[in-house]
Amino acid sequence: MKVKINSEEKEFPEKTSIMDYLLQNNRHIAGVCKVKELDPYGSCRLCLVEINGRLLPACATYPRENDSININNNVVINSRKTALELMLSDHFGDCIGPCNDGCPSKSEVQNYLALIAMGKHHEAVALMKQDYILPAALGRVCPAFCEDACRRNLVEGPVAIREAKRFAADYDLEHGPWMPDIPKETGKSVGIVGGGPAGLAAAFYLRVKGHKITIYESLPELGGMLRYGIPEYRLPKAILDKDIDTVIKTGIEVKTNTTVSVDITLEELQMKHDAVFVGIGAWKVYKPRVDNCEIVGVLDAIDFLKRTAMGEKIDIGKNVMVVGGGNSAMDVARTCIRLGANVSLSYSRTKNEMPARQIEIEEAEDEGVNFLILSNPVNIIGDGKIQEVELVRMELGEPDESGRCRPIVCDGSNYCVDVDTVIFAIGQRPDYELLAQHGLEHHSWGGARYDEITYETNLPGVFVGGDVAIGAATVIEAIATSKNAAQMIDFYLKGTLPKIREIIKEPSKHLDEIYSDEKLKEFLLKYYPYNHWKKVTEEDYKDRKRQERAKTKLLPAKERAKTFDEVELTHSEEDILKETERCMSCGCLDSFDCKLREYSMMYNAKQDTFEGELQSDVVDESHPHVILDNNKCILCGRCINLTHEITGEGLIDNLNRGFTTKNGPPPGTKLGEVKGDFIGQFVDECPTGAFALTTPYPKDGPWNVTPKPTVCNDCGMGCEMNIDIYKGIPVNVSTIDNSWNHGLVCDKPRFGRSWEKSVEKPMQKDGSKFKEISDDKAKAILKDHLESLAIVLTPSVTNDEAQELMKFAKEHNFAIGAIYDEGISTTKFATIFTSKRIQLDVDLSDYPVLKTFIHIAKKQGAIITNEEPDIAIVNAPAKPKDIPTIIMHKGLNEVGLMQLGLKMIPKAKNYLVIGSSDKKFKGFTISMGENKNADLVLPLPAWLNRTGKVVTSEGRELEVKQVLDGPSIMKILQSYF
Amino acid sequence: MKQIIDKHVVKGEIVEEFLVKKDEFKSKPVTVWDVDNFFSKQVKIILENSGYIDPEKIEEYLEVDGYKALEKALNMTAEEIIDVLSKSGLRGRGGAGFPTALKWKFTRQAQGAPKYIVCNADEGDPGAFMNRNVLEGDPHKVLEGMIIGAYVIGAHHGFIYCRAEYPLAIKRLDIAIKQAREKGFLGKDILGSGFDFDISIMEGAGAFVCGEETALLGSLEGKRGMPNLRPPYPSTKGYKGKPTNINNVETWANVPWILLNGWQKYITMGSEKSKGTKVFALAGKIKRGGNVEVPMGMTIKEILIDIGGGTKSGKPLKAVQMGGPSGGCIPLALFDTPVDYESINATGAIMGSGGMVVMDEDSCMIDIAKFFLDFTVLESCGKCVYCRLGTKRLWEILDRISKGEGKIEDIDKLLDLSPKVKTGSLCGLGQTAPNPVLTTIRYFRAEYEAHINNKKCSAKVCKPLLTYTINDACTGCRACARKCPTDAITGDKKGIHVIDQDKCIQCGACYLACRFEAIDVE
Repeated sequence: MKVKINSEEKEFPEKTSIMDYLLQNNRHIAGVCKVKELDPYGSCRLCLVEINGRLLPACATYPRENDSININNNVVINSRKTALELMLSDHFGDCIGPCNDGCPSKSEVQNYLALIAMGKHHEAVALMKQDYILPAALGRVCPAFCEDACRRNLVEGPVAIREAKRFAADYDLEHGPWMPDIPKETGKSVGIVGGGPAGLAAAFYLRVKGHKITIYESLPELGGMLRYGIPEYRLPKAILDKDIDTVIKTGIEVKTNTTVSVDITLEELQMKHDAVFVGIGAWKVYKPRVDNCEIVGVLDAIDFLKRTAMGEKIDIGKNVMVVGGGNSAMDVARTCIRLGANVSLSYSRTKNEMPARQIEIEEAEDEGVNFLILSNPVNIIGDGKIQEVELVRMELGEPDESGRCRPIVCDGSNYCVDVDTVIFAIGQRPDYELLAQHGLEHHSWGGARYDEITYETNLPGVFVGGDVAIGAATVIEAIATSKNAAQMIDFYLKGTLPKIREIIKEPSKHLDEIYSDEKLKEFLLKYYPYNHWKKVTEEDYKDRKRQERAKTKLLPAKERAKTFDEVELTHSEEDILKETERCMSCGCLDSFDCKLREYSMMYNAKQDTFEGELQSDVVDESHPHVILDNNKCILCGRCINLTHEITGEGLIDNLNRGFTTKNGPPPGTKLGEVKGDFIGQFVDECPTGAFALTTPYPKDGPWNVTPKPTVCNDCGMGCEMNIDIYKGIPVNVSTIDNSWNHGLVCDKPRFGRSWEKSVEKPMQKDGSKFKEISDDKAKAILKDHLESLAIVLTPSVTNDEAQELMKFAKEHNFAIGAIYDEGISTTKFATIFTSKRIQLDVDLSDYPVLKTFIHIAKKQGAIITNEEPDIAIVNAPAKPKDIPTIIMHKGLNEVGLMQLGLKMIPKAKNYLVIGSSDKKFKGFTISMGENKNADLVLPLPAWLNRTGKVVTSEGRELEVKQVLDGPSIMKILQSYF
Repeated sequence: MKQIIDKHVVKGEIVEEFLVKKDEFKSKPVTVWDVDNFFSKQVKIILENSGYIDPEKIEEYLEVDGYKALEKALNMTAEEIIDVLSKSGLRGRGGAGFPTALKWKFTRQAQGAPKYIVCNADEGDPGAFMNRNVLEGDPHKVLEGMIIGAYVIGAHHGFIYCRAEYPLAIKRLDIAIKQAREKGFLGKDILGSGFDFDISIMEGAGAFVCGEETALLGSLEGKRGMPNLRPPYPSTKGYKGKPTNINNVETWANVPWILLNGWQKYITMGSEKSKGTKVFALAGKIKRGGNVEVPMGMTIKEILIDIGGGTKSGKPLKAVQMGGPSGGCIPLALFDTPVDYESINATGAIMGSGGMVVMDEDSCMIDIAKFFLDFTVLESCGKCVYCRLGTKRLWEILDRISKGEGKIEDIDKLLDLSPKVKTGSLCGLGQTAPNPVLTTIRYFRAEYEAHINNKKCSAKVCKPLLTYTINDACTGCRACARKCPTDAITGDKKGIHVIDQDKCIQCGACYLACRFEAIDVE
C-alpha cells in the first residue's frame, strides 16, 4: 500500500509497524522500550511520530493506505526532546567524571586511571593520546584543570591526576612507547605552520587519519613554548625530546629553521598542500607602560627564556627584578635565581590575584624570590644602562570585570630599587602583523578570526589552533583546539566540512544522516556529548573515607636553586596506585553505550528544563557482578519484560506507583539475593547505566570496548556472544542481537569467564599439588612417555584443531580419540517454538538458554508431557527417538568430534589430553590444560585465543573466530615435541 | 443531620423541611416528596429500581420485569440484538463514549476462543459513586445486561472487576449471581436456549488506573495493573490474549431496558449524538449532593441548580469539575452547555463516568487543579514517561504558584507541557490528567496571574499567600494567642492583639479560634 512519509509517497508493506519499516529502511527512529521479539510496551514515548496530524508511537502503529506520516518534523522532535528532558529531570548520576569534562581536551581521565590501576601504562598512554599528545610534558607542566574539577575536592583534595599521567607517560617512554597504527595514506597532504604544541597536535591527529604531514618550524627545534618558554628545571629537554619523538615518528616530515613568510610563503603552502594549519602561538609581548624601556638591562620574558633555552648566557648582573605575576614571571624569576642573581618580583596586586599556579608561587618563594607585592614600576632610571626601577605602592580597590580587585596607586608612595636587569613578564599576544601580512583576518587583541565550529579562517583551507586562535593559554588548551581543528581539517579534506558544520549546529535536523554513518555518529557523541551531572555538595561525601593525597616530592629548595635539575620528582608506582584508588569513578559505566545520553545529545535535551523533586536511592551493589543503580533507571521496562516474558525468571518488577515507581527485586530483597541465570543479561537490556557490569579488574573503567564475536564454550548449546575487548584487555561478555540464540547469553560465561582461562607454564604433579617446571623438563617428561601414547580430545577442541591433531597423530603413529557422549539431534531448537507437547528429560538449570525457549513455548500454549510428545529433549548419550529429538551435550563440540569420525578413548599406556578436563585416565596423563588427575600439565591457550569450526548439540555449525592473538594449540604442542 | 437522626430515625417522625415531591412507583405504591424539580427533572432507567426493590431478592427484580429482556434476547439473533443496540445509539458510559454495538460486533467477529466479557466496576474517581448505586441497589440489572452481551459476543465466561472498597456491592452481586444461577439465568443451557454462561467476581485492590481497560485486564490476569499499548485492542487480544469485551457497569445496565422498551423509546431521550440517560454524582459545594439520573443533553445549569439546588453555602456557583480528576473545570459562564459527550469535550472537560464536583467562590482554581493533579500523580501507574514525570512536574509548577513562588513564565510552561502530556501519554489517565490545569488556565487565567504577580489568592485558600491581621473587634480574650503554634500573637489581656507577620505561618488557627470576627484574612 502507499503511504506518505515526510510528504514522499512510499510503498509500505502490510501489517508492518512504522518502527519496523523505518528500521528496515535505515531511517532513524528513537526508542528504548521495544523489545524485538515482544509486543510493543509503550513506556518510553520516544518513538512518537506524526500520523495524519496525531502523535502516535511508531512501535505500535500500523499505517493504513494513504496515511500521511511525518517522522521528524518539529512536533516530533519536540515531543521526543520533552520526553527526554522529563527523564533527565529524575536522573541522578554523572555521565562522565567532572575531570573528563574539566579537561580542555576532554580526556577520559577516569578511564585511563583505571588502566593505570591495572598496570596497563602503555594502554593508559594510548588512551591519553586519543585526546592529547605529549603526556610526559603535560604530566609536568599542565595546570591540571581535571584536578580542579575532581569530585574528590569535596572530600579531602583532588586525585593527583597529573602525577598519575606523568608516571604512566614516563613508564611508556622508558619501556618503548605506544605508537598508533597509521592507516593507508589518503593521498592528501597538510602543511603545519609552527612546531609547538598546537602544530604538533594538529600534525599528529591528522597523521593518524592517514594524511601526509609537513611541519614548518622557524626555530631550530620543535616544541615551541614547551622548549623555549618553559625552563629545564620544570620540563627537562630530554623528556620533551622523547615525547615529541612519539609524534614525529608516526611519519611526519619536519622542516625546522624554516620561517613561513621568509623562507616560504603561506600562498606557496596553500598551493603545495591540500590544507594548511597555522599554529604560530603567541610570541609577541605586551609593551610595558613605563618610560625608558629601550635601554640596556630591560628585557622581555619571552625573549629571555628563549635565549636561555637556546643556551645563550645572558648577563643579568647581580640584582634582577621581574615584573608580572603569571607562570612566565615565575619561570623567569626562578631561572634568574638559578643563574645566581638576587631576584625580586614586582606585582601590582597580592599573591591571591596572581594568575600563576599556586605551587609555582610557593616554589619560587622557597627558592628565594623576594615578592614585592602591591607594587608597580613607573619609571626606569639609568642612562643607556639601567640603574634603578622606580616603584609605586598600590592598594586593592573594588573588583573589576575579571572579578579581581583593581589595584589603585597610592599617591606619593614612590620608591626606588637598585637593579642590574629588569625583565617584564606581563603577557603575550599572537603576532597579528604576521597574520595580516598573509591576508588572515584577526581580532584587535591579535588572535586570528576563525569559525568557532570549523576553525577555518577567512582563507579557504587555512585553519588555526592554539594560542594564535585563543590567545596565550595553556599547553593543553593549545592541544585541545588543534585536535579539534584537525578533525575539521579531515572533514575538509573529505569535502564534507560544510555539511558537518550544519549537522553539528543542529543534529536533530539530520538524524537520518547521522544514524546511517556510524563514524559521524561516533564523532558527534565524542566531540559534542550530552553530559548529565549529579548536583552534590560536601555533605553528600561526608561519610566517604578520607585518604590523603600523595605528596609531591621536590628537590630541597636550597639544592635546586643552584641547578637546572628537575625540581619535581615522579611519584612511585605505589603512590600512583593509591591515587587511582582515591578516584571515585564518578562517570557512568555505561557512558559509551547509554541511549539516554545519545538521544539527549541528538535532540539537544537539557537536564534542567523540568527541574523538580529528584529521587535518589542507594545503589544496590549486593550482587558480585551486577550493579543496580535505580538513580539512573528510566523505567523503560526492558528488564521486567526480559525476566517475565522471555526468561520466565521474574526477578525484577515494578515497585511503588506514580512518581515513586521504580524497578527492582521484590521489596526487602537485594539484587544479590535473587537467584537466576540471566542477571547479567539485564545489563545488555538496560539502555542506561541503571544495570552495569563490574569487571575483574581493580577499577571498572569504563572503556570504549570493541565487541568481538565468539561462541560460548560453557555447554553444548553453543550460544553466540561477544567478548568485549579494549586494547587487548578482555573486559566483559555482551550479547549479539541477531544470533541464533536470540541475543540471550546466560550468566555462566559472563561471571565464570572460562573463556579467558589458560595455562601459561608447564606443571608437574607433586603430591596432591602441581608445581611449575621448565619447558625443558616438560619436554623431557613428554619424551619419556611417547610409547603407546594416545591423544584424547576434549569436547572444546574445534574441528580445525582436531583435524590438525589427527594429522599430527597419524604422523607420529599415536592413537587418537575424543571424549563425548553419543547421540546426534534430529531437529533444531527452533522446533521447540512450534511444538505443542514437549517431552523434557534434561535439567533446565544446566542449559539456561534452553530454559527460556521452553518458557516461551509454554507461553504459546505448549505443555511438558511424556504422553504423545511432538518433540523430545534428552541428555546425551541417547539415541534419537522416532519424533524430532534434541540431544543435549555438555561439551561444545561433541557433535563435531563425532562427525569427524573420532572414536572414544583408545586403550594406551600414556595419554595426551587436549583441553581442560576432570577425567581420570588409566595411564600416565599429560594434559594440555588443567586436569587435577594429570601427571603433567602443558600450557593451553585461552578459549578467546582459539579458532575453528564447532558443531553444537542441535547440529548447528559455527565458526569460532580468534578474539585475541595468541599461539594455537598445535603450535604450543609442537614446541614440546 | 442531627435533626434527621433525632426526629426521623429515633422518633420516626417526618422531617418536613427535607422532603421533596409526591410520586408513585409502578406496582409498589411508594410515597416520595419533592421540592423544586428534584425528581421531575430526572429520568430513571439505570436507577429505576434502586431503592424500590430489595436487591437481595431476585423475586423483586422479576416482579419489575427483570430478566424479561434476556428472555426476549434469547429469541433474537446476535445480529438482531446488535442492530437494536446500534439504533439505540448507546455509547460506553465509562467515559470515552465508544458505540457499544460496534464494540460488541468487533469482539463477536474477532478470531480466537474462548471469548470473555468483563464488567468494569472499578469506579475510582474520588467522589463518584454511580456504579456503586446500581451494583448495590439493582445488581440483577447489570447481570442481565452481561448475560445478553455474552450471548451476542459468544462468551461463556464473564468477570465483574469490582473495587474491593465496595464490600456491599460485592456481597449483593454475589447473592445475585447465586440467585440467577438457581433460576437458570446463569450456568448451563440458560432458559433452555443451549447457551452457557457464568460470571465470577474479581476484587480490585484500589488502583485508579485499573479502571483503564488494558490495566484492568492485566490485573485480572494477576499482574500489576499497568495499561498496554492499543492496538491490539481487548476486542482482539484481551484477557489471556483472547477476544474480550469490556463495558462499564452503567453501559451493561442500559442493555435490558433498551431491549425491553425498544430503541425507538430510548432515542427519544438525550441529544443528537448522545442518547439515553446518564447518572451523575453531585459532590462538592452542592446543596443536594448524591446521584441523579438525567437525559443526556440537559444543561449543566439544570442539573446543578434545578436538581442540585445550587450551592450549599448560598454563595454563587463558580465552576464544576466534570469527569473526575482527569476531567476539566467548566466555569459558570458555560453552564448552558448541554451534557453530552461532544459538548463537554468542547469545553476541555470530559464526560468521564459522571462525577460533578461543584465549586463556589471560596474555591481557588489553582488549588483545585493542584488537588486533582495530586490524585493523578499518585495514581499514575508509573509506566510511561509523560504521565509518571510530566504530571509530577506540572504539579510542582502549580505548587510553586500556590505558594507565591511562581513566575509568569510558569503559565507558559504549564501550557507547553500539558498538551505534550496529553498527546504523549500511553493511556487515558495521562492523556486526560492535565485537563484540570488546562481548563483552569483557560477559564481562570486571571486567578493564576493574581497568584503569581500579586501573590494573592482571592478565594483565600492558598495559605502561604494569606495575611492574617487583628482588627478593632479584638477583645483581648487571648483565645487566638493560645492556639497560635508559633507564638506569633501578642498583646495585653483585654487589649487589642497583634500578629507578628514574620512569625506567622498562615495556619489559620487564630481565625478559627476567634469568636469576635476580629481576625482579617487578606
